Amino acid sequence: MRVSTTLVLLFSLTASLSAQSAQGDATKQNDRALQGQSFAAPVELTAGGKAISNLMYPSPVLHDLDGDGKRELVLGEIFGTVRACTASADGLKWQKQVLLQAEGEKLKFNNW
Amino acid sequence: MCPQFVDFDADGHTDIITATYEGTVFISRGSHKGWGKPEHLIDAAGEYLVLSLYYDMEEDTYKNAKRSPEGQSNPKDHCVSAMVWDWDADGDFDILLGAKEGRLYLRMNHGKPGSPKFDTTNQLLRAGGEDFNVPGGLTAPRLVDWDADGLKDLVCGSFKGGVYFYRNVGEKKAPKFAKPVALISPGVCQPSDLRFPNSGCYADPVDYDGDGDLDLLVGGYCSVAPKKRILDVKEKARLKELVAKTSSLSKEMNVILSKHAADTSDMSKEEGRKAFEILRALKPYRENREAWGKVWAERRTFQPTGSRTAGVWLYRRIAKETAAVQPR
Repeated sequence: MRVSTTLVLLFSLTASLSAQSAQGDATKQNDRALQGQSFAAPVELTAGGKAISNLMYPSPVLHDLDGDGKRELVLGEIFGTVRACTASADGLKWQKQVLLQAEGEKLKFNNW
Repeated sequence: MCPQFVDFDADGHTDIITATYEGTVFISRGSHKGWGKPEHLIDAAGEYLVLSLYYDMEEDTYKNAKRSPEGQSNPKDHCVSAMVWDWDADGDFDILLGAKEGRLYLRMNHGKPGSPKFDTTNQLLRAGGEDFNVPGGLTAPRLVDWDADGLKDLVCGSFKGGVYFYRNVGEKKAPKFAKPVALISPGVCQPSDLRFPNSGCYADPVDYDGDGDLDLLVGGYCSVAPKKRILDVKEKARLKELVAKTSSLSKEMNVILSKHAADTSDMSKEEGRKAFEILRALKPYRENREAWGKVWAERRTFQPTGSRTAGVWLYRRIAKETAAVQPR
Protein backbone atom coordinates (compact mmCIF):
# COMPACT_ATOMS: atom_id res chain seq x y z
CA MET A 1 0.00 0.00 0.00
CA ARG A 2 2.76 2.37 1.06
CA VAL A 3 4.86 1.39 -2.00
CA SER A 4 2.01 2.05 -4.43
CA THR A 5 1.27 5.44 -2.80
CA THR A 6 4.93 6.38 -3.15
CA LEU A 7 4.91 5.32 -6.79
CA VAL A 8 1.79 7.41 -7.47
CA LEU A 9 3.41 10.42 -5.77
CA LEU A 10 6.62 9.93 -7.73
CA PHE A 11 4.65 9.63 -10.99
CA SER A 12 2.64 12.78 -10.18
CA LEU A 13 5.81 14.70 -9.34
CA THR A 14 7.51 13.60 -12.57
CA ALA A 15 4.41 14.48 -14.63
CA SER A 16 4.16 17.86 -12.91
CA LEU A 17 7.86 18.64 -13.50
CA SER A 18 7.52 17.53 -17.11
CA ALA A 19 4.45 19.78 -17.61
CA GLN A 20 6.28 22.71 -15.98
CA SER A 21 9.26 22.08 -18.22
CA ALA A 22 7.03 22.01 -21.35
CA GLN A 23 5.37 25.24 -20.23
CA GLY A 24 8.79 26.77 -19.60
CA ASP A 25 9.93 25.73 -23.08
CA ALA A 26 6.83 27.29 -24.64
CA THR A 27 7.46 30.54 -22.72
CA LYS A 28 11.11 30.56 -23.82
CA GLN A 29 10.05 29.94 -27.42
CA ASN A 30 7.56 32.79 -27.13
CA ASP A 31 10.23 35.09 -25.70
CA ARG A 32 12.69 34.09 -28.43
CA ALA A 33 10.06 34.78 -31.08
CA LEU A 34 9.78 38.35 -29.83
CA GLN A 35 13.45 39.01 -29.20
CA GLY A 36 14.76 42.08 -30.95
CA GLN A 37 11.30 43.18 -31.97
CA SER A 38 9.93 46.60 -31.30
CA PHE A 39 8.09 49.33 -33.07
CA ALA A 40 8.68 52.95 -33.86
CA ALA A 41 6.20 55.48 -32.52
CA PRO A 42 2.90 55.11 -34.38
CA VAL A 43 2.29 57.28 -37.44
CA GLU A 44 -1.30 58.20 -38.24
CA LEU A 45 -2.18 57.58 -41.87
CA THR A 46 -4.24 59.95 -43.97
CA ALA A 47 -6.47 59.47 -47.00
CA GLY A 48 -7.30 62.31 -49.32
CA GLY A 49 -5.37 64.68 -47.06
CA LYS A 50 -7.47 63.87 -43.99
CA ALA A 51 -7.14 61.57 -40.99
CA ILE A 52 -9.21 58.41 -41.44
CA SER A 53 -11.59 59.45 -38.69
CA ASN A 54 -14.86 59.10 -40.63
CA LEU A 55 -15.22 55.35 -40.13
CA MET A 56 -16.59 53.51 -37.13
CA TYR A 57 -14.22 50.73 -36.08
CA PRO A 58 -11.97 50.89 -39.14
CA SER A 59 -10.34 47.56 -39.99
CA PRO A 60 -7.43 48.14 -42.38
CA VAL A 61 -5.70 45.66 -44.66
CA LEU A 62 -3.23 46.13 -47.50
CA HIS A 63 -4.21 44.29 -50.65
CA ASP A 64 -3.57 44.68 -54.37
CA LEU A 65 -7.16 44.97 -55.55
CA ASP A 66 -6.57 45.69 -59.23
CA GLY A 67 -3.57 43.45 -59.82
CA ASP A 68 -1.27 46.29 -60.84
CA GLY A 69 1.42 45.20 -58.40
CA LYS A 70 0.69 48.03 -55.96
CA ARG A 71 -1.24 47.44 -52.77
CA GLU A 72 -4.27 49.51 -51.88
CA LEU A 73 -5.23 50.43 -48.34
CA VAL A 74 -8.57 48.66 -47.85
CA LEU A 75 -10.80 49.75 -44.99
CA GLY A 76 -13.69 47.81 -43.50
CA GLU A 77 -16.04 49.47 -41.02
CA ILE A 78 -18.84 48.51 -38.69
CA PHE A 79 -21.71 49.29 -41.07
CA GLY A 80 -20.45 46.76 -43.60
CA THR A 81 -19.06 48.89 -46.41
CA VAL A 82 -15.54 48.52 -47.77
CA ARG A 83 -13.42 51.39 -49.03
CA ALA A 84 -10.10 51.49 -50.81
CA CYS A 85 -7.42 54.11 -51.22
CA THR A 86 -4.62 54.09 -53.75
CA ALA A 87 -1.13 54.88 -52.58
CA SER A 88 0.90 58.03 -52.84
CA ALA A 89 4.66 58.29 -53.15
CA ASP A 90 5.62 58.14 -49.47
CA GLY A 91 3.22 55.31 -48.58
CA LEU A 92 1.76 57.23 -45.66
CA LYS A 93 -0.56 59.64 -47.40
CA TRP A 94 -3.18 57.69 -49.29
CA GLN A 95 -5.53 58.95 -51.96
CA LYS A 96 -9.15 59.62 -51.04
CA GLN A 97 -11.42 56.76 -49.99
CA VAL A 98 -13.49 55.09 -52.70
CA LEU A 99 -16.32 52.69 -51.90
CA LEU A 100 -16.01 49.24 -53.42
CA GLN A 101 -18.86 48.31 -55.73
CA ALA A 102 -20.71 45.03 -56.27
CA GLU A 103 -22.80 44.55 -59.38
CA GLY A 104 -23.27 48.28 -59.91
CA GLU A 105 -24.11 49.11 -56.30
CA LYS A 106 -22.16 49.91 -53.17
CA LEU A 107 -20.69 46.71 -51.71
CA LYS A 108 -22.31 46.32 -48.30
CA PHE A 109 -22.18 43.37 -45.96
CA ASN A 110 -25.37 43.33 -43.98
CA ASN A 111 -25.29 44.44 -40.38
CA TRP A 112 -27.80 44.63 -37.63
CA MET B 1 -15.50 43.61 -39.75
CA CYS B 2 -11.93 42.82 -40.80
CA PRO B 3 -12.24 41.75 -44.50
CA GLN B 4 -10.04 38.89 -45.69
CA PHE B 5 -8.99 38.66 -49.34
CA VAL B 6 -8.67 35.04 -50.40
CA ASP B 7 -9.71 32.75 -53.26
CA PHE B 8 -12.17 30.79 -51.12
CA ASP B 9 -14.08 29.05 -53.93
CA ALA B 10 -10.97 28.10 -55.88
CA ASP B 11 -12.11 29.70 -59.14
CA GLY B 12 -8.96 31.74 -59.65
CA HIS B 13 -10.50 35.01 -58.41
CA THR B 14 -9.98 36.61 -55.03
CA ASP B 15 -13.08 36.73 -52.81
CA ILE B 16 -13.83 38.75 -49.68
CA ILE B 17 -14.66 36.87 -46.48
CA THR B 18 -15.94 38.78 -43.49
CA ALA B 19 -18.39 38.78 -40.60
CA THR B 20 -20.36 41.72 -39.26
CA TYR B 21 -22.10 42.49 -35.97
CA GLU B 22 -25.09 40.62 -37.38
CA GLY B 23 -23.10 37.60 -36.17
CA THR B 24 -22.95 35.75 -39.49
CA VAL B 25 -20.28 35.13 -42.11
CA PHE B 26 -20.37 36.55 -45.62
CA ILE B 27 -18.59 36.07 -48.89
CA SER B 28 -18.44 38.48 -51.80
CA ARG B 29 -17.23 36.38 -54.69
CA GLY B 30 -14.73 37.89 -57.05
CA SER B 31 -14.98 37.35 -60.79
CA HIS B 32 -13.71 38.98 -63.97
CA LYS B 33 -16.70 41.36 -63.60
CA GLY B 34 -15.71 42.51 -60.11
CA TRP B 35 -17.21 41.78 -56.69
CA GLY B 36 -20.47 39.89 -56.31
CA LYS B 37 -23.26 40.78 -53.92
CA PRO B 38 -22.58 39.39 -50.43
CA GLU B 39 -23.90 35.91 -49.68
CA HIS B 40 -23.99 34.10 -46.35
CA LEU B 41 -21.65 31.17 -45.94
CA ILE B 42 -23.54 28.12 -44.70
CA ASP B 43 -22.68 24.92 -42.89
CA ALA B 44 -23.26 21.30 -43.96
CA ALA B 45 -26.87 21.52 -42.69
CA GLY B 46 -27.58 24.66 -44.73
CA GLU B 47 -27.55 26.96 -41.67
CA TYR B 48 -25.70 30.23 -41.32
CA LEU B 49 -22.28 30.08 -39.66
CA VAL B 50 -22.97 31.66 -36.27
CA LEU B 51 -21.80 31.36 -32.68
CA SER B 52 -24.31 31.03 -29.84
CA LEU B 53 -25.71 34.55 -30.30
CA TYR B 54 -26.67 36.32 -33.53
CA TYR B 55 -29.02 38.99 -34.82
CA ASP B 56 -32.04 37.72 -36.72
CA MET B 57 -32.53 40.39 -39.39
CA GLU B 58 -36.00 39.17 -40.36
CA GLU B 59 -37.33 39.21 -36.83
CA ASP B 60 -35.19 42.21 -35.86
CA THR B 61 -33.94 40.70 -32.61
CA TYR B 62 -30.99 38.85 -31.07
CA LYS B 63 -31.39 35.08 -30.96
CA ASN B 64 -29.58 32.18 -29.39
CA ALA B 65 -28.28 29.33 -31.51
CA LYS B 66 -27.31 25.85 -30.37
CA ARG B 67 -23.94 25.32 -32.00
CA SER B 68 -21.98 23.59 -29.22
CA PRO B 69 -20.51 20.14 -29.76
CA GLU B 70 -22.62 17.40 -28.19
CA GLY B 71 -22.28 17.27 -24.43
CA GLN B 72 -20.66 20.72 -24.27
CA SER B 73 -21.99 24.19 -23.71
CA ASN B 74 -20.05 27.01 -25.32
CA PRO B 75 -20.28 30.49 -23.79
CA LYS B 76 -22.90 32.92 -25.12
CA ASP B 77 -20.67 34.48 -27.75
CA HIS B 78 -21.37 36.79 -30.64
CA CYS B 79 -19.37 36.38 -33.87
CA VAL B 80 -17.89 39.59 -35.25
CA SER B 81 -15.08 38.36 -37.46
CA ALA B 82 -14.23 35.43 -39.68
CA MET B 83 -11.10 34.14 -41.33
CA VAL B 84 -10.67 31.09 -43.52
CA TRP B 85 -7.58 28.95 -43.10
CA ASP B 86 -6.65 25.41 -44.05
CA TRP B 87 -6.34 24.44 -40.38
CA ASP B 88 -5.46 20.78 -40.96
CA ALA B 89 -3.55 21.27 -44.22
CA ASP B 90 -5.91 18.92 -46.10
CA GLY B 91 -6.36 21.22 -49.09
CA ASP B 92 -9.61 23.02 -48.17
CA PHE B 93 -10.40 26.07 -46.13
CA ASP B 94 -11.68 25.68 -42.59
CA ILE B 95 -12.95 28.79 -40.84
CA LEU B 96 -12.17 30.65 -37.62
CA LEU B 97 -14.97 32.64 -36.03
CA GLY B 98 -13.98 35.48 -33.72
CA ALA B 99 -16.23 36.47 -30.84
CA LYS B 100 -16.77 40.01 -29.60
CA GLU B 101 -16.11 38.67 -26.11
CA GLY B 102 -12.55 37.63 -27.09
CA ARG B 103 -12.86 33.91 -27.74
CA LEU B 104 -12.06 32.15 -31.00
CA TYR B 105 -13.84 29.17 -32.55
CA LEU B 106 -13.11 26.71 -35.34
CA ARG B 107 -15.43 25.10 -37.88
CA MET B 108 -13.77 22.31 -39.82
CA ASN B 109 -14.58 21.89 -43.49
CA HIS B 110 -15.17 18.32 -44.64
CA GLY B 111 -15.88 19.29 -48.23
CA LYS B 112 -13.42 20.18 -50.92
CA PRO B 113 -12.26 23.42 -52.54
CA GLY B 114 -15.25 25.09 -54.17
CA SER B 115 -17.85 22.98 -52.34
CA PRO B 116 -17.40 23.39 -48.60
CA LYS B 117 -19.15 21.32 -45.93
CA PHE B 118 -18.56 23.07 -42.66
CA ASP B 119 -19.19 21.40 -39.32
CA THR B 120 -22.48 22.38 -37.70
CA THR B 121 -20.90 23.07 -34.31
CA ASN B 122 -18.23 25.44 -33.07
CA GLN B 123 -15.06 24.17 -31.48
CA LEU B 124 -13.71 26.59 -28.87
CA LEU B 125 -9.96 27.00 -29.38
CA ARG B 126 -7.36 27.15 -26.64
CA ALA B 127 -4.12 29.04 -26.21
CA GLY B 128 -1.47 28.44 -23.57
CA GLY B 129 -3.61 25.75 -21.92
CA GLU B 130 -6.63 28.02 -21.49
CA ASP B 131 -9.63 29.01 -23.58
CA PHE B 132 -8.50 31.36 -26.35
CA ASN B 133 -9.50 34.76 -25.04
CA VAL B 134 -7.99 37.98 -26.33
CA PRO B 135 -7.38 40.31 -23.37
CA GLY B 136 -9.98 43.06 -23.68
CA GLY B 137 -12.16 41.12 -26.13
CA LEU B 138 -12.86 41.44 -29.86
CA THR B 139 -10.99 38.72 -31.70
CA ALA B 140 -10.35 39.81 -35.24
CA PRO B 141 -7.59 37.35 -36.04
CA ARG B 142 -5.05 37.77 -38.79
CA LEU B 143 -2.99 34.87 -40.01
CA VAL B 144 0.73 35.40 -40.48
CA ASP B 145 4.01 33.61 -39.89
CA TRP B 146 5.15 36.30 -37.48
CA ASP B 147 8.24 34.46 -36.20
CA ALA B 148 9.25 32.96 -39.58
CA ASP B 149 9.28 29.37 -38.30
CA GLY B 150 7.15 28.01 -41.15
CA LEU B 151 3.92 27.88 -39.11
CA LYS B 152 1.11 30.42 -39.32
CA ASP B 153 0.58 32.40 -36.11
CA LEU B 154 -2.31 34.66 -35.14
CA VAL B 155 -2.24 38.37 -34.47
CA CYS B 156 -5.34 39.86 -32.85
CA GLY B 157 -6.34 43.41 -31.99
CA SER B 158 -8.23 44.07 -28.77
CA PHE B 159 -11.34 46.06 -27.99
CA LYS B 160 -9.61 47.59 -24.96
CA GLY B 161 -6.47 48.46 -26.89
CA GLY B 162 -3.32 46.55 -27.71
CA VAL B 163 -2.37 43.94 -30.27
CA TYR B 164 -1.57 40.36 -29.28
CA PHE B 165 0.59 37.66 -30.82
CA TYR B 166 -0.43 34.02 -30.50
CA ARG B 167 2.54 31.85 -31.46
CA ASN B 168 1.73 28.60 -33.20
CA VAL B 169 3.67 25.96 -31.26
CA GLY B 170 1.92 23.04 -32.92
CA GLU B 171 2.51 21.31 -36.21
CA LYS B 172 1.52 22.07 -39.77
CA LYS B 173 -1.55 19.80 -39.64
CA ALA B 174 -2.34 20.49 -35.99
CA PRO B 175 -1.95 24.14 -34.96
CA LYS B 176 -1.61 24.86 -31.24
CA PHE B 177 -1.25 28.30 -29.73
CA ALA B 178 0.89 29.58 -26.91
CA LYS B 179 -0.41 32.13 -24.45
CA PRO B 180 -0.73 35.64 -25.90
CA VAL B 181 2.08 38.16 -25.84
CA ALA B 182 1.38 41.87 -26.33
CA LEU B 183 3.03 43.26 -29.47
CA ILE B 184 1.45 46.65 -28.70
CA SER B 185 0.42 47.24 -25.11
CA PRO B 186 -2.87 48.91 -24.26
CA GLY B 187 -2.43 52.44 -23.02
CA VAL B 188 -3.98 55.71 -21.97
CA CYS B 189 -3.54 58.71 -24.24
CA GLN B 190 -3.12 62.08 -22.53
CA PRO B 191 -4.06 65.31 -24.35
CA SER B 192 -0.38 66.21 -24.82
CA ASP B 193 0.59 62.76 -26.14
CA LEU B 194 1.07 61.61 -29.67
CA ARG B 195 -2.20 60.07 -30.79
CA PHE B 196 -2.26 56.28 -30.93
CA PRO B 197 -5.02 53.65 -31.04
CA ASN B 198 -6.02 52.51 -27.57
CA SER B 199 -9.43 50.93 -28.13
CA GLY B 200 -11.34 49.02 -30.80
CA CYS B 201 -8.10 47.83 -32.40
CA TYR B 202 -8.08 45.85 -35.65
CA ALA B 203 -4.56 44.86 -36.66
CA ASP B 204 -3.05 43.81 -39.97
CA PRO B 205 0.48 42.40 -39.76
CA VAL B 206 2.13 43.33 -43.04
CA ASP B 207 5.50 44.33 -44.46
CA TYR B 208 4.28 47.84 -45.04
CA ASP B 209 7.56 49.43 -46.07
CA GLY B 210 9.03 46.47 -47.97
CA ASP B 211 12.10 46.19 -45.73
CA GLY B 212 11.62 42.47 -45.13
CA ASP B 213 10.04 42.52 -41.68
CA LEU B 214 6.44 42.64 -40.57
CA ASP B 215 4.98 45.93 -39.40
CA LEU B 216 1.55 46.49 -37.89
CA LEU B 217 -1.24 48.46 -39.44
CA VAL B 218 -3.79 49.22 -36.73
CA GLY B 219 -7.26 50.67 -37.10
CA GLY B 220 -9.11 51.79 -34.01
CA TYR B 221 -9.83 54.67 -31.72
CA CYS B 222 -7.64 57.10 -29.90
CA SER B 223 -9.44 57.90 -26.66
CA VAL B 224 -7.90 60.93 -24.98
CA ALA B 225 -8.30 61.31 -21.24
CA PRO B 226 -9.74 64.68 -20.16
CA LYS B 227 -7.45 67.28 -18.69
CA LYS B 228 -8.86 68.04 -15.26
CA ARG B 229 -9.34 71.64 -14.21
CA ILE B 230 -8.85 73.04 -10.71
CA LEU B 231 -11.79 75.35 -10.02
CA ASP B 232 -11.86 78.42 -7.80
CA VAL B 233 -14.77 79.09 -5.41
CA LYS B 234 -16.79 81.09 -7.93
CA GLU B 235 -16.37 78.44 -10.62
CA LYS B 236 -17.37 75.68 -8.21
CA ALA B 237 -20.58 77.55 -7.38
CA ARG B 238 -21.38 78.02 -11.06
CA LEU B 239 -20.73 74.35 -11.76
CA LYS B 240 -23.15 73.42 -8.99
CA GLU B 241 -25.83 75.56 -10.65
CA LEU B 242 -25.16 73.98 -14.03
CA VAL B 243 -25.37 70.45 -12.64
CA ALA B 244 -28.75 71.29 -11.07
CA LYS B 245 -29.94 72.89 -14.31
CA THR B 246 -28.92 69.85 -16.37
CA SER B 247 -30.80 67.61 -13.98
CA SER B 248 -33.99 69.71 -14.09
CA LEU B 249 -33.89 69.88 -17.92
CA SER B 250 -33.53 66.10 -18.06
CA LYS B 251 -36.57 65.72 -15.82
CA GLU B 252 -38.52 68.12 -18.04
CA MET B 253 -37.53 66.03 -21.06
CA ASN B 254 -38.91 62.91 -19.39
CA VAL B 255 -42.24 64.72 -18.93
CA ILE B 256 -42.23 65.78 -22.61
CA LEU B 257 -41.46 62.22 -23.70
CA SER B 258 -44.20 60.72 -21.55
CA LYS B 259 -46.70 63.22 -22.97
CA HIS B 260 -45.73 63.22 -26.67
CA ALA B 261 -43.62 60.17 -27.51
CA ALA B 262 -45.43 57.37 -29.28
CA ASP B 263 -45.24 53.79 -28.12
CA THR B 264 -42.80 52.32 -30.64
CA SER B 265 -42.80 48.75 -29.31
CA ASP B 266 -45.06 47.43 -32.10
CA MET B 267 -43.63 49.65 -34.83
CA SER B 268 -41.26 48.67 -37.59
CA LYS B 269 -37.86 50.39 -37.69
CA GLU B 270 -39.11 52.78 -40.36
CA GLU B 271 -42.29 53.65 -38.44
CA GLY B 272 -40.20 54.20 -35.30
CA ARG B 273 -37.88 56.56 -37.19
CA LYS B 274 -40.85 58.55 -38.50
CA ALA B 275 -42.38 58.79 -35.00
CA PHE B 276 -39.05 60.12 -33.69
CA GLU B 277 -38.87 62.72 -36.48
CA ILE B 278 -42.36 63.94 -35.51
CA LEU B 279 -41.27 64.18 -31.87
CA ARG B 280 -38.09 66.09 -32.78
CA ALA B 281 -40.15 68.67 -34.67
CA LEU B 282 -42.29 69.51 -31.62
CA LYS B 283 -41.59 72.91 -30.02
CA PRO B 284 -41.26 71.69 -26.39
CA TYR B 285 -38.77 69.02 -27.47
CA ARG B 286 -36.68 71.42 -29.55
CA GLU B 287 -36.63 74.11 -26.83
CA ASN B 288 -35.59 71.62 -24.17
CA ARG B 289 -32.79 70.16 -26.32
CA GLU B 290 -31.50 73.62 -27.19
CA ALA B 291 -31.44 74.74 -23.55
CA TRP B 292 -29.84 71.47 -22.45
CA GLY B 293 -27.15 71.82 -25.12
CA LYS B 294 -26.19 75.32 -23.95
CA VAL B 295 -26.00 74.29 -20.29
CA TRP B 296 -24.01 71.18 -21.14
CA ALA B 297 -21.54 73.17 -23.26
CA GLU B 298 -20.84 75.54 -20.35
CA ARG B 299 -20.59 72.63 -17.93
CA ARG B 300 -17.94 71.03 -20.10
CA THR B 301 -15.72 74.09 -19.72
CA PHE B 302 -15.54 73.28 -15.99
CA GLN B 303 -15.62 69.51 -16.37
CA PRO B 304 -13.77 68.68 -19.61
CA THR B 305 -14.67 65.35 -21.10
CA GLY B 306 -12.35 63.11 -23.06
CA SER B 307 -12.47 62.64 -26.80
CA ARG B 308 -12.52 59.55 -28.97
CA THR B 309 -11.45 59.66 -32.59
CA ALA B 310 -11.11 56.88 -35.11
CA GLY B 311 -8.05 56.45 -37.27
CA VAL B 312 -5.52 54.13 -38.83
CA TRP B 313 -1.94 53.97 -37.63
CA LEU B 314 1.28 52.38 -38.81
CA TYR B 315 3.68 50.79 -36.34
CA ARG B 316 6.93 50.18 -38.19
CA ARG B 317 9.09 47.37 -36.86
CA ILE B 318 12.54 48.55 -35.86
CA ALA B 319 15.57 47.05 -34.13
CA LYS B 320 15.23 46.98 -30.35
CA GLU B 321 18.23 49.20 -29.59
CA THR B 322 16.66 52.09 -31.50
CA ALA B 323 13.09 51.41 -30.38
CA ALA B 324 10.82 54.21 -29.33
CA VAL B 325 9.14 54.06 -25.95
CA GLN B 326 5.93 52.08 -26.15
CA PRO B 327 2.68 53.77 -25.16
CA ARG B 328 1.92 53.42 -21.46
